[in-house]
Amino acid sequence: MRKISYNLAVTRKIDGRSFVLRASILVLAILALGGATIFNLAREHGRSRAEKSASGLIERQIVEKKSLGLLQAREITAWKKKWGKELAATNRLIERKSFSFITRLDFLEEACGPGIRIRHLILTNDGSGQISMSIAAQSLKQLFALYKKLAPYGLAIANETQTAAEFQVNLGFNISNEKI
Amino acid sequence: MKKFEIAVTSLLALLALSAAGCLFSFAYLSIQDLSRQSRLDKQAAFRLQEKEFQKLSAEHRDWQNLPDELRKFRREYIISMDDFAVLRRDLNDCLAANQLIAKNITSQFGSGKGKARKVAISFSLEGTYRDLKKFIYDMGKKPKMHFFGSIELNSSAALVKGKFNMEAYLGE
Repeated sequence: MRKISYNLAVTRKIDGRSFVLRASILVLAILALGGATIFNLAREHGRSRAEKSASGLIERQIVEKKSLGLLQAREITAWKKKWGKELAATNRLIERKSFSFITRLDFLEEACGPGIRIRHLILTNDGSGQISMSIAAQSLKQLFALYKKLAPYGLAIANETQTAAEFQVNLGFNISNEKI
Repeated sequence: MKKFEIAVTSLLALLALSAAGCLFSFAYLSIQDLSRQSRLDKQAAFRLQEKEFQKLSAEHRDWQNLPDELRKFRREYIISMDDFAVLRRDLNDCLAANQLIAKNITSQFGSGKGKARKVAISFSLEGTYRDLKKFIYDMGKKPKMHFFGSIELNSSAALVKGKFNMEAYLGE
């Protein structure tokens, strides 16, 4: 007859070695998670502290510069009021002093090739570089070649007369300082 | 047995706590990244503002230096009465050097009481186109504040007749 044995303990018997192994795994997991948490928080704390101090510095700089900028803008407005007219007049003088009649004469010499004669020429030293002239051309071809060269300079033809020998034209155009 | 139960419960509780802590730290990192983005945007905006400030500062510096620059300009380029005498002599020398004779040279002094008074000088010349062009070039080279206001040229046969209007600016 087989012997029957009963475990009459209230709870099961624990295997000590197995428990220690599992407990160690749990402890290791706890340590790993805790370590990860501490690492994350410490790193973030360090970064955020550095950034916050930089950001605070930037904010202070913005405030300082804004107030300085306002002050400077106010001073500029006052100076513009005080010196604006004189500055504009001075710039106008410099612009007129740098106006080159020679460059414009060179341009006309180059533009009016053989067969075109300038009879009358008025060059004005103003911002637009206005030029008026009366010319005589020997042929229509030469005349239109000249028109083509002057077209980019706002050419305005006042009148054109064809005689037996030549074509006489009164015209005007502008060569500003920027265009030469 | 009771001891083992307590130990297991404690370990499990600690595990849950550390897992929650770890999750929290990752969530916190993500939130911080978002706020970092806004800080970076702020920094980028600041850099833009910084450029504006630099531009304004440069303009401010220019305006600050303007009175000195204007004084220097007046000193160096605006003509004094002595300079005007030199200009008249230069004009005559230049005409002679280019074989040109001006019949009438008239100078009209402006009545303005500003910092630079305009003097209109006008004269007529007759000569070859080359001589007249050389004369215009020679007069244009001079640094003081005088220049041709307008030039009118008429060609007749080999010679060119020219009407010249010059402007000179006299200081106090």
